[in-house]
Amino acid sequence: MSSIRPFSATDLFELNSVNLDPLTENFYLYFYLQYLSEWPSLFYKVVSPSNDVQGYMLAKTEGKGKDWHAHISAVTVNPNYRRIGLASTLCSSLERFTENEPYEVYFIDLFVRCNNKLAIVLYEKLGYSVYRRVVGYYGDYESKINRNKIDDEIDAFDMRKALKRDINRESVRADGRKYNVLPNEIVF
Amino acid sequence: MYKDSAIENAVRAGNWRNALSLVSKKIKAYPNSSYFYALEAEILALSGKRQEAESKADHLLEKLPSDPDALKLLANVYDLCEVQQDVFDKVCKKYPSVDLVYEYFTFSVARGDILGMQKASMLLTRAVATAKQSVDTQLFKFWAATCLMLTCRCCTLAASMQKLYPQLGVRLMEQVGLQTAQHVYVYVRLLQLAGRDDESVRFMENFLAKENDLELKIIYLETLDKMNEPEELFRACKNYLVHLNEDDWDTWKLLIKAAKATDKLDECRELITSYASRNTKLAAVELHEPCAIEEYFHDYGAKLCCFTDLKPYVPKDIFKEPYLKNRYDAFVALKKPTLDHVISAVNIMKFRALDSRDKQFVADCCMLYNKTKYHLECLEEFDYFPGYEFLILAMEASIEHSDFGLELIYSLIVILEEALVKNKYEFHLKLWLMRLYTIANLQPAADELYRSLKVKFVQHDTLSYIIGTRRSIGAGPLVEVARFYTQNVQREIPHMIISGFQSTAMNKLQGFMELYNRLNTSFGKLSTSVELIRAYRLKDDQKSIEEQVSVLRSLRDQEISDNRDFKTFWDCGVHERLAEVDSKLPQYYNGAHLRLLVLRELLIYDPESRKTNERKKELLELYAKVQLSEIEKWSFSVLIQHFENTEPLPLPPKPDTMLSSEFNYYHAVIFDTYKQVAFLRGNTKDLKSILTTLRNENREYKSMARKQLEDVRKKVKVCLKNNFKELDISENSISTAFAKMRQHLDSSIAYLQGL
Repeated sequence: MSSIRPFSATDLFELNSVNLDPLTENFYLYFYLQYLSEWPSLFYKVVSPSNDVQGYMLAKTEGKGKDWHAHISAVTVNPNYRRIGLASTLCSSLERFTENEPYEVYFIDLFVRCNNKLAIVLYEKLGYSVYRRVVGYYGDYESKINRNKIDDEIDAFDMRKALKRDINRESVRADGRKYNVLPNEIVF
Repeated sequence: MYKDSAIENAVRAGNWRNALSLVSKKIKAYPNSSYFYALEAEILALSGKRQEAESKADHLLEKLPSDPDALKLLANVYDLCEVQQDVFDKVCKKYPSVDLVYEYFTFSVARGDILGMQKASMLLTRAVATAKQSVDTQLFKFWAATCLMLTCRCCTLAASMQKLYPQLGVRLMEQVGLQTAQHVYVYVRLLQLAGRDDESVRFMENFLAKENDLELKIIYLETLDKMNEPEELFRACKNYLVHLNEDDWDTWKLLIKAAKATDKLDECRELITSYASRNTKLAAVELHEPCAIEEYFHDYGAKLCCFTDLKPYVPKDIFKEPYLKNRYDAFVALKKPTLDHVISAVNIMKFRALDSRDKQFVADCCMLYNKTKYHLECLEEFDYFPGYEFLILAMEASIEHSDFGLELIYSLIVILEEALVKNKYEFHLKLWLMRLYTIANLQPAADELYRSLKVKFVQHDTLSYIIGTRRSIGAGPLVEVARFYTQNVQREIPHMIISGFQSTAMNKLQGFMELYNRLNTSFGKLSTSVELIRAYRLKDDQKSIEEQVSVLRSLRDQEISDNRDFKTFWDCGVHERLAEVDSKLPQYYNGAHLRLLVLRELLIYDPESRKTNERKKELLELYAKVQLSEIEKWSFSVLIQHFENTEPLPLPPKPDTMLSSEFNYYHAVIFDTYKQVAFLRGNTKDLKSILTTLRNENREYKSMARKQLEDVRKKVKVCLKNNFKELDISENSISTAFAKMRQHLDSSIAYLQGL
């Protein structure tokens, strides 16, 4: 059984079964609290009837004009509750929450490591497509990055899904994998 | 910290005389500055001259100084002197300027003081109304209404205030307007606190029609349920489930409840069958539909959630059901089971464990692990092998049916060590292994695993108890744990609470305040301080001790908040704490035990406190009540001898084996007791002779420990052969594990030799 509930700051005490996973980052307190205070309805969890956290979504809105969009900063699921569609539930809930009032965004985007094939397939099933490759996104920012030197280990795909406000689907493109950008070129 | 760096340095160094002389020069230079008078009072309080400090503070407060920095110092002076005094409230009533009252508000936030925030926010609404500068008056009214709501929901109030505050809040919100979900949230909460649930429902209904806010939706459905409006509840749930397509278990459950009360079970069944999801499959189980459990198992038996989903509904002997037994038999006959098969078998064994965990069960778990472990060879990076659960089930059952002796403890370490080689990210295995290491006097190995889990920030608060209870091998990772409270909690949360008010995330503020207060009064924070004090005392590091004592003093009279996470440790196997297993493991501190340890430190290092007599009395009461180990009892009896002149208990005998952490703890406690009495300038003659004996003996410890470990290794071989034969643990694995253990045991023993 799974229910979607708003995330509360005290839920941070209950995240070990999700956050001890090596791929899930544990952030500073202020990071979680900033999301709660700036985008209170875009940070939510999936829970069992006894309030055990099965997964959570951490998202925000940003951009101007037609770049106004929701960004998935983290979506993660407890290992005991994987392969049952909870990540999809979390993502489709975000669509519901952001395509209407008060947000009414044009699209949702997220970054995923280029070699994370499982996640890319999941997002494609949910209607996301690659918009561009961000070269060196997960690499060492200090080092000089060449936009043509691609590396699936440290590059990210910026994946997007257009929502109903983007009537002409201007926020997505079919040949996104051909476009390379550098991390400092992503400004909203 | 201070406005003058020379004074700050002198205070940091504990050079009170110099600090006072510097501050008196400043007073002469700036006789009208209240700041330096307040600073003088604070230095006096810090140096232990609390009466003089309090009288200076009283004298200054009578003049109602309006410098917020001076007021913050004065508040700290009163805290140090253990006197209740709301300095800001007193001054702000006389000088209610926007700036000063705003300082009062932020100061109250920093102290986690919701009542102070409420008073300051009400004063702010008045201050901004008459202010010359341009200020958003509506915003501050919204703050005040939110604080009234928080006060009613989080504080204990007199009945008259509990009645008045919501009414006042409702009036304020009606002036502010109800434009956003946050406005409606605060208004609805206040209406409900004022007993006007029906009005709150109307407001939520109207708002939810135009904006689908999750928080309000939940309050709305809960209120309909509370008001016993099943017709309305059924309609609302159906709207969310069918029209808005929100497949949410809580909503399904409320729908079923409403259907039962309104004779709409047929319609409810129709809805459930028209929907194909995990939640609806479980809704059928909730409705006790025929074969619903079997159907659920058919669809979700190869998912890890299957056991936890069905557990509340199944009888203990469900394993006897033919559809489970047949599946199990078919699985056993498979030569190369797939991962889906493995997960099904894990679920089946969990159901079996509900009923019986006998010797055959252990053997079957081991056989299943061995049969499926070939999947470990093809794991992707960061993936888990679900078959690890067979080991957890076998381990729990073995502990349950044994006396949990050394050979079993060390055998389980070998088994888990081997399992982790290829399943290195599985954290339940690591948590169990850490627990076993701390029992087996292999604390350095537990510390290493704790670090490998990359535990940080709030996780320290919930998990550090595993490596930080009865620690007798130095501070280790506890230094980072302590830093979390002083650096992250104090620096990040108050700032974010203010930010939450500024961005009007009002529905999150109760959580922010609770998080802050629970971390400030946390069990983990206090137990870390107590453990660090012992480690520092054994190293004669007085400055570090004082830092930790100030942490203990800051608790004042507040309740301790136990945020420790025991759930994750037991969230495998049958996903609950097994009393039969837990009772065999050494217990962690409970609240009374921790309180006793805190009182001991405060009696030693805070003798000027006006609560000293009270503390002594409470310590004696807890000493008689709390279940202590023999060595702890002896240690307290020695301390009590110092205070009460009573006869101490005789020293208990040394533990037989060095392969148990009790051995290190025994020594650490004796050395620590000596240091306590020496600090109090008590009679240490008898203690000194005990230390001399121990020091003479400890030269042989290293070789003795190695010999004991070698003896246990032989027993482990036999134990693995007799009880875990099906795991087929190789000689090489045993040797590798013992080689590592020897290194860690050497470190534990070396610590003792350094005392």
